[in-house]
Amino acid sequence: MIDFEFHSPTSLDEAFGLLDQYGDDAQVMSGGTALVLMMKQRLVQPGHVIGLRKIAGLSSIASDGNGAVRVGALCTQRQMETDPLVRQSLPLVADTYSKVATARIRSMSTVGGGLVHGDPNQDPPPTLIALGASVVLSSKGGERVVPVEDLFIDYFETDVQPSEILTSVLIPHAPAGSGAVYTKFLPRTADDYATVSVAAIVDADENNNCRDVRIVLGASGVTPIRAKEAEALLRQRPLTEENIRASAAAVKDAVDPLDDFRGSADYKRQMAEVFTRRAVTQALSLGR
Amino acid sequence: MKLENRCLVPASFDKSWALLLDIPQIAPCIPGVQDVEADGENQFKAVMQVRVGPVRLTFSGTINVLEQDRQKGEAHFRVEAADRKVGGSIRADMTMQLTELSADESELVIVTDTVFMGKIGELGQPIIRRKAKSTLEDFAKNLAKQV
Repeated sequence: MIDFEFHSPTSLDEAFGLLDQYGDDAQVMSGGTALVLMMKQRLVQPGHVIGLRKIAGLSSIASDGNGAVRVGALCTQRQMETDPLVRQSLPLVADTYSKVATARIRSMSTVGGGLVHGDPNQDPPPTLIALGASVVLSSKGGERVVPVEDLFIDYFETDVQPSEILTSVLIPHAPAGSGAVYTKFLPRTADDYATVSVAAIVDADENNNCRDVRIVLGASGVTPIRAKEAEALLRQRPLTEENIRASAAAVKDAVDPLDDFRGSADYKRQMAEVFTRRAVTQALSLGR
Repeated sequence: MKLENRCLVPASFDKSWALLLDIPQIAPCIPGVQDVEADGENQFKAVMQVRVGPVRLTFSGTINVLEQDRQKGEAHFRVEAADRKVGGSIRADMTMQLTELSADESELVIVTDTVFMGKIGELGQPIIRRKAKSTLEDFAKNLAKQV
C-alpha cells in the first residue's frame, strides 16, 4: 500500500478544515470497506485519509417526528439490519441491508460510506430511492438535502462535492397498507453483488387498483435506475397479471446494463424484466 | 478498443478543417484536456484529467499529427500518454474524416483505436468504452460551440 497520512478529526468543523487544506489529495473514510480495497489495488491514492469515526453524533438512528427515520451516516449496515426502530418502521430497509454481502462486511461498512461510494451494484440505493429517501450533505457553508434519486450521477460518481460530507439519511415510511420488496438475483454466491436487483413498493386499494407504485433497479446501469415508464403503466390501473407483465416488459427499455462476469448486458436486461415482474407481484401480495 | 463517432460541425469544410488541425485550439474541446503546447514539428504536449468510475487519472503525453490530406478531408493522429500515479498508459490512433454537407455544415467521423496498458487496462472495457463515448460526444458539443 502507498504512504498516506491518516487524520482523525473529532468534529465536523475539523474535518471540513482538513478537506479545505488538502483538497484533491484528501479522501474521506468511514467504514473503509471499499476505500481500503481500492487503495490496496492502487486505484485510489490519497495523500491524506480523513477518518470520520471519532466524530460524535453521526451514528444514531431516531425518528425525526415527521414520519421519517433519521439515520446517522456512520451507522453500520449491520445496525440497519438489527436496529429495532428500523425493523419495526422500515422493514424493507432492514431486509435490504440484511442482503448486503456478509455479516462481517456489514459490521464495518456504513450507510453513508456506501452511498458516497456510488457503486451501482449496491443493494440499499434502489430501496432508498423507492421510499423517497434523502441525504443531508454538510459543508462549512451549511447543509443541503438531496433526494437519493438525484445523488448518483455516473458510474461511481455522486453529487457529493469535494467540500461536503454526507452526515445523515432521512428515510420516510412506505405508505400504510402498501407492500414492499427488495429482490436480488444471485446466480453465483449468496454474498455476491446482484446480477440484477429490484425494489418495488405497491400501494393498492381494496379493488386491487394501483394507487401508487415505485420500481427501482440496481446493477442495471451506471447508476440505480427508477423505471418511471413501467410505474406509469401500473399507476391508477388494475393490478392484473397482464398489466404487471406489460409494466415489467417496459423495464427492459429503462435499464442499460454493463457486460461483466455476472452476465452480458442482454442477459441482465432479460433478467431485469423477470425480476421486476416477480418483485411487483410479491409486493402486491404483501400489501393490505 | 475501436470506437467510431460521428458529429455535425456547424461550419463549412474550410473553416472546420482549419480548426481541426489547430491542435492547441481544438484539444481543449476534449473534456479534461489542458496545458496544450507545441513540442516540435507536428507534435504537441498535453495533459488530460479524466475520471473513470472511482479512479482519477492524469495522463500526460504527446499528440502527433502523422498525416493530413486536405483533398480527402482526412487526418491521422497518434496520442501516447501515461499516468504515473495509478500506473498505466494508452496509445490511440485516431483518424478524422471531414465531409462537407453544405456551405455551413460538415460531418466529422472520428475512428479511434486505443490500446490500454498496465493498471488502466484492468478497469474493465465496458466502462472505458462508455467513458470514451461520452468524452467524444462532449468533444463534438464543444467543437460546435468553437465554430
